[in-house]
Amino acid sequence: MADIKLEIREVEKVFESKRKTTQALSPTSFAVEDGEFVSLVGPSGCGKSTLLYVIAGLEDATSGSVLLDGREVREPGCDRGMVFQNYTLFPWLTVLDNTRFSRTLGANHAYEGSVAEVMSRTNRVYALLDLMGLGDFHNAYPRELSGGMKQRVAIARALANDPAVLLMDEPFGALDAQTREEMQELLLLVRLHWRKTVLFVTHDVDEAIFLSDRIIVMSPRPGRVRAQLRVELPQPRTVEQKLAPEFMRLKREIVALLHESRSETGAREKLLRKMFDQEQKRASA
Amino acid sequence: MAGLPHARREGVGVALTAEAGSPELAAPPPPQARAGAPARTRPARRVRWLALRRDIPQAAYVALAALSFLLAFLFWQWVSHQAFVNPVFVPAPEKVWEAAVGFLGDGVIWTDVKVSFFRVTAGFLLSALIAIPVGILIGSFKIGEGIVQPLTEFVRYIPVPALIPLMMVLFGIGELPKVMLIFAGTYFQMVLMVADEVRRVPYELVQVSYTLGASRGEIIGKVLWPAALPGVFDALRLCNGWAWTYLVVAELVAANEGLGYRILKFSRYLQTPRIFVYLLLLGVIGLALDMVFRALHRRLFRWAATER
Repeated sequence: MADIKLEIREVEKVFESKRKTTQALSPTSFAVEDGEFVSLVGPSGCGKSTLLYVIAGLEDATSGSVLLDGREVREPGCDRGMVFQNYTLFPWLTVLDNTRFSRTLGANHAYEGSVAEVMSRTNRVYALLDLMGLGDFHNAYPRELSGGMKQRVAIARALANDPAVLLMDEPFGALDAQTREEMQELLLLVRLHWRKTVLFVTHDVDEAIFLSDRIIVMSPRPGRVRAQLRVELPQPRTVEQKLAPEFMRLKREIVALLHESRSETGAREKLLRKMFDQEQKRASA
Repeated sequence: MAGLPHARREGVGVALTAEAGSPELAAPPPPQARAGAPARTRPARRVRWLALRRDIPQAAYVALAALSFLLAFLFWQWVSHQAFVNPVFVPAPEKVWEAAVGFLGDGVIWTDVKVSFFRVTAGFLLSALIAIPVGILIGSFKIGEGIVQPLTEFVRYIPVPALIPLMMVLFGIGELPKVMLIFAGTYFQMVLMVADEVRRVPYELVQVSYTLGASRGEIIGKVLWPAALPGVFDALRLCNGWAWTYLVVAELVAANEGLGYRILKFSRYLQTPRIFVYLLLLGVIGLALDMVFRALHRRLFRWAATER
């Protein structure tokens, strides 16, 4: 049994504006083990991204706390690296400078001790870029890269810091299906070499099953944990496993969980049927 | 025009045979292929002259610009010789040319350019020196915005010429009031423009910087500032143009030389050909400065080249 790396304790988020208050997230608790890959899936608006932002320290929780290695974290910090859905590269920096951006910051100079350590950090940047297949693009600017490449740089940049956990907010959501699949395989490969703790937000069920050790299914707004499922597919995973019976079983289960929570489906069907009937009547008249 | 589709078809045919041909690339292409080569490397592209916001060939753009100058000149030439036009108010191009040649003899015109250039540039630089840091603070911190922005918006609407008496009382009648007037004319606009550029930087860049371990100071210096810089540079270009437009106003204040002062003096004696020379000179200076700014922008901010 591995140690607990990240713990979410009764985290709740309420957005308040003049007109109304919206509860985005009901008190939610779960834990992520060291080296574990956990996905949060749920319908849009269920607060899964909000939760990720709270963990990153970019949003304040209305109540509850986030513990990293047993210590409460409130402010954003380089111990929680994040990859966003949108391309968030610094457009004025080359691929190499984007990746080593965090090394220019004071927060990281503090524990940049011996020469050997500095060297190893530098080597990590180059190794990461090689791993991401960006070895020939050190001096390219973001606008010269495709969407998939931009996201690979973003991942390399987050990892260059060697964060304790990697938070990913639908990082492949803006990519086409093929690039998305390539990126998923790449992420698995990176994880295989680097037992990183990852919390991954997605609404793509296949993606969640393919990548994760565990999946947390969330209910619609206000979000809360509806079910947790362990993915028992063996590592290292391959695309073929997406057709395995175990994969299908999990997918059916998760889709059913997500579908169940869509209470309005019946009402919509009724409405559609009514519209259709009216059209028919008009056509026959 | 009828020959064009035919030529294109031929180009495609050549491309097909070349692909289907032997893989030995080193072999010289057959004569017909060589004749069709330009069509193959650059297929004849139809230019959509009236497509919204799309590019037209660079040469055509330059030609259109030249044509507009030429048309303006021809209109001037024509109108200045009409009976209903008083030649005192609209001098013919020949008269203006004579006046220009007359200026070449003495150095007065160059002194005027130098003096005015100094005044405009000093006022503009002073304004940039203060407006850029203040603008960055306003754009970065809502508190700063609250303190500075409404007040600046208020002052911005005070007409600059109305400040002349105040400037003379405060700064005397030397160079200072002239520089300060140009400063007043540009500063309040520039602050707001710089702040806007900082606010336009996507918030995601701030968030990602936080997660990489950046402090607030580092985010301002290493993220907001470089991200806003191309926009700030453009704001400076526009403000420099406005600074020149305040020149005549500034040189109303007890001036003895300068382009604006000279124009006022010529107008007192109705020497319109000379006024025209100075006006054209102002236009040329403005255009040249604008081109310098644009060239620098292209050079410095290659990363920000617009994506199409």
